[in-house]
Amino acid sequence: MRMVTDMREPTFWVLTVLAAGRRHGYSLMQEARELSDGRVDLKVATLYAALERLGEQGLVTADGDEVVDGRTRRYFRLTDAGATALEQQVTRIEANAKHARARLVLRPAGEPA
Amino acid sequence: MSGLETRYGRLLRWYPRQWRARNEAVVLGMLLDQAHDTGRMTPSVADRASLIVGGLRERLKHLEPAVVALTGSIAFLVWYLAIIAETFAHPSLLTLGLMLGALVAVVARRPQLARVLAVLAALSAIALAFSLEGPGPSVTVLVAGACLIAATRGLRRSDAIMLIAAMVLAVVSAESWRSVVILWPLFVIPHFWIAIVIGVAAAAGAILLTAATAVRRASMRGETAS
Repeated sequence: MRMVTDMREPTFWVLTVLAAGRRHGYSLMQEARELSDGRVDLKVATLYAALERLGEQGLVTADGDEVVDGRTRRYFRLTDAGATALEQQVTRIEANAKHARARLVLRPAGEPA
Repeated sequence: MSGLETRYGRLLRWYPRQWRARNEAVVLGMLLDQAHDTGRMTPSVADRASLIVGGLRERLKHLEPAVVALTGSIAFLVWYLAIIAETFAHPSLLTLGLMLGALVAVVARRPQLARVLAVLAALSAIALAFSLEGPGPSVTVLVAGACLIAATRGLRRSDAIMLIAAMVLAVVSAESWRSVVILWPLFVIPHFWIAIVIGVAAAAGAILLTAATAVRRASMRGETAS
């Protein structure tokens, strides 16, 4: 099992979107943008390159092509390895957040803002 | 819509043919989905740029650094022999032959043979640098650098560092030696002193690096033994 040492934000959002089920490229782009409050605004070429890379790493896999209105849509889904990687990342984020919260509570009152 | 499709199709030609056979329809579909959704009539500047960059990156992805480095330096050496040395009956022909051999070995997927030939090519270039008749420092550094890229391919990092350190030491020694020979009557020129200082510093650095690697490996062996 590949240890995920650090996950960049686009990767995180792609895996997060796919965790809820298979998606085709453009809907994945839209959902990632919505979930990240517009911070992750990937270009088509960039997102597709990320999907190919995640495919090579075994975290996502293509899940069939469909043609709608003459436009080809390739669907992608999360693999078990992808789910594990996302799980690890979430655990890390939760642990970090917990430490930050605990420290913020300890912040002495009256310190300059 | 078909006009937009043609324009996207033209941008996708930046990608290699093989990639397009597998992915062009899908990426075109995503671009048209996006255009349909946002009402775009022309590709955006950002999309245009990312398709060009993505296509070039895809083309470069499959090029081996060793092949690029060796091909480039072979071309340079041929140019050097033809234009600067004005003869192919030149000792650098040996280096050229060894580099060609290394290139063939890389392409033929014989990494061990490629490594041996690349190291020999670098050594032949460095040996020539000791003589006044050999090509100048820029040629030596370029050839030795390209050979190092081919030679360190697939090596463990510690071994690669040792090899690079040894080569740097050899190149610097050769060039310092040549500076000494050329500039001996004029040794007040700072050039000479700079070369000596760099040579000594490089030698010290290479020796320290090699020693550190040896010590680390010895301690790692100790750990596995215990």
